[in-house]
Amino acid sequence: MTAAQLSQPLRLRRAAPMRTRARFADLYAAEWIKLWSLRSTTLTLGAAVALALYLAGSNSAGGTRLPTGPSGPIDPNHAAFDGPSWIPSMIGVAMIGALALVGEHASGLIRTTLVAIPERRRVVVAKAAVLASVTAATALVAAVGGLLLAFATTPGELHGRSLTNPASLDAIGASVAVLPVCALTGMALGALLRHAAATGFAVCAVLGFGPLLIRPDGNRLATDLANVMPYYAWGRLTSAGRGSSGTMTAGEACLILAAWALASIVVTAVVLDRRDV
Amino acid sequence: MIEARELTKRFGRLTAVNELTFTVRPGQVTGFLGPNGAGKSTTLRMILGLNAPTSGTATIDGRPFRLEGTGLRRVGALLDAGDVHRGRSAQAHVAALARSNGLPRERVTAVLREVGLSEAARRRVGEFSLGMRQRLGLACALLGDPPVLIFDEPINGLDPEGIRWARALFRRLASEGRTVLVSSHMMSEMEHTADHLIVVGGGRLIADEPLSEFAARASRPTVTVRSEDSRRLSAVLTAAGGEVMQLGNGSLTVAKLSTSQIGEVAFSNRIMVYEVAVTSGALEEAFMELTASSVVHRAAES
Amino acid sequence: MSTPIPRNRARFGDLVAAEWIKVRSLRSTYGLMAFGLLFAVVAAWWEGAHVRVAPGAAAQFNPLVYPYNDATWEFITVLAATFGVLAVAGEYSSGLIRATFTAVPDRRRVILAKGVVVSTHMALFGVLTSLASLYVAGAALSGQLSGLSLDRPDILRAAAVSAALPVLGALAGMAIGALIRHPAGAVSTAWGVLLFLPTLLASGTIGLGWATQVMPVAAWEAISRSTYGTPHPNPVPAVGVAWLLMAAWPLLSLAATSVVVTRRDV
Repeated sequence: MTAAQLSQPLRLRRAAPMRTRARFADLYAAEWIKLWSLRSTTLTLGAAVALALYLAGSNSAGGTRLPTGPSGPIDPNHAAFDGPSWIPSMIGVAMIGALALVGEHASGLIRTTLVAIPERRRVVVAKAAVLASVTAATALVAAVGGLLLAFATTPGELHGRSLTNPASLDAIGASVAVLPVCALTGMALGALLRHAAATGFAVCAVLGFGPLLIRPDGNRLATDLANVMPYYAWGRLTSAGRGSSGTMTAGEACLILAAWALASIVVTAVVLDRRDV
Repeated sequence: MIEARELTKRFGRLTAVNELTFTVRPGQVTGFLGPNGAGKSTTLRMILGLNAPTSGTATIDGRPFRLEGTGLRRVGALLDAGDVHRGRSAQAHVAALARSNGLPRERVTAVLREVGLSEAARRRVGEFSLGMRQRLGLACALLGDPPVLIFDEPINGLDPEGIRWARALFRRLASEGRTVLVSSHMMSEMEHTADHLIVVGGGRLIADEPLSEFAARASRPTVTVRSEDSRRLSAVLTAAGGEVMQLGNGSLTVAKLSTSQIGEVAFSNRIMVYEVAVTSGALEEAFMELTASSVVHRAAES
Repeated sequence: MSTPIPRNRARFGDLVAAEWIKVRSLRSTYGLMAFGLLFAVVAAWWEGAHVRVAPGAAAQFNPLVYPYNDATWEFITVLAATFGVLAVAGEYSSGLIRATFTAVPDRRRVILAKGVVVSTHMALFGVLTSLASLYVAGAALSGQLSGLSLDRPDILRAAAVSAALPVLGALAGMAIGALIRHPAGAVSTAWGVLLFLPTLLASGTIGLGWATQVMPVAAWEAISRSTYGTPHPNPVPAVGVAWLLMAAWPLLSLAATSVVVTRRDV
């Protein structure tokens, strides 16, 4: 390679507009490329959907253990939105969110990113937007697919065999909300801890172990603690009998999910803004 | 134009950068020189708004870099070739950066071709050699056609052909009127590239002057001698008043004696000499002398 | 030559010493163990302090439930597994593994030495945590329940098996770390295998309910008998089988680690 070859490509030919502020669409697109160019994203999201569908199918096929309530028909939400069956998906998307932050810090890519976009908060918002939209789409596939499977395979009489009945819509909506909330929580934990193994541990502890450890059926304090967890807020909205249905309103559950999402974004932005990278 | 004003960074009790003030001007290659641990990388990170200074300011074209909405059109930087996610392809890495600044897609292909990575663009960065990662980093720096370029130890890991290419690139960028700041811990690297030198040691400014002036600082020209019996030659040269250092493979570096004096001593002691040459590394010498007192990681005397 | 000719095969003791230095020079070792101990102590106090025993009803309470609460010890197990994961995956992610295997090409001996060091640390951690749990719960329960003392054979047995549980967890973690190699992926897999998988299996969703019984925590429950009432909500193996499992898990984990690490390029 000689110096003569250098001159041509150095100049931007078609004078691209010199933006003093990146368009948000461009930031979103950049984070989109980053997310999908990692193999782990496709693998994890694919596994999350596959597992949710498989578990919904086997839950409804093994209909015997579905609580039928005092009397009357079976609620398909019990099969499609069985709590423990969704925990792997919640943790999976949270890991994607966590790695989106940890991966940048661990590899040093964060410096390259922030030289390109010195306004750090906008990077965080773009990252959050990509994570939220991708995981919401994943949740939609898993929830609708799971319900359809439950309709198809549950033996005996069903309570509302339609996607458009209010209970189904509530449950789909709650699921489409909870996976983004988990992904953003993962992102915030990643920003706080930066260390891959520590973040993985924290994600599993907060989103997976928390709901198993603290259940809303103990004393008052335990119930209050359990109710602020995304898992039980989601459980309230899917009404799949996770014991918390009576202890908070649907409105409170929505508020709790929104608060987690917002707090995660704020924490990530503040932490990244203050830190030397 | 890059300006640092009394730039200071402390990490706990360690002062990495101590009241550094300098200006980097456009149209020339400025070498940013100092031994390992002198605070070079920390300074560059503060200029780029990655690290917050404890006190003082750093600006690029008069503005703190953190205030920019997009960076690539203002500054191209290669800080560490490892600052890439290993799981991504080179293509995806550059494409994401370009997109974030609203740069056209052809630009990605153009810079990758420019640095000679077209063939490897679809491979994951984790499979790249250090030299290839350096090239990838240079590609990212060129992406936005920026007026200011900052390179931290860019030559590391490049093959000889790559080094020549990179030097030509830096000179070219400067001749186009850009501000080019290249850091290094090796003087020899600067000899062929820089017009102006900023030398730091122990976080402090040691010199800020044109390359030619800096070279004139070397107080003691030295001579390299290669002989059949360097041990005996070393002894007799020391006896004749020279300061001798063994270089291995039969070579000695001698100070305080001229080439003719050395020849005389060797001849009168019947020692065969294969080569006597004045060391061209006057810059290296000046650099060593200047930074000797500030070297942090001094090699243990053996 | 005055210098002694070095052995061409390192003594196993030297390998252990080398791994010992590696483990002890990481902050995460201390942080993790301190965190686990703190967690166990707080949990034991919490469990003990919230018990109200009606006069004369003490016989209906199983005091082991409080120091050896299953959720607490599941967490301790996963924490220990994380320690094991880091011991292996940390070497892979940093590239240190290449230096290690260049220095000692016999990979199986390296793994064995690592296993010895990890087990020693976790055994120590297990004993400390088990005893701390026991005494803190005992103190919190004072005036309500008594009998939490190592003099009783069932308490001694529960304390001993709880001390051993972290060793199982850590060795399983090493195997997971060797398989997955990416620290975050390996840590979440450890959680999945040791905690969420048993929960899922026990719920009967996948139809492999029997498999719950072979998990480390089930074996621990069978031996420690630290459960609320009978029958136990999750199936546990027979005590004899449980002891076999306590021995089989570490051995199989070490074998798996060794096979995976030996077969794979680094």
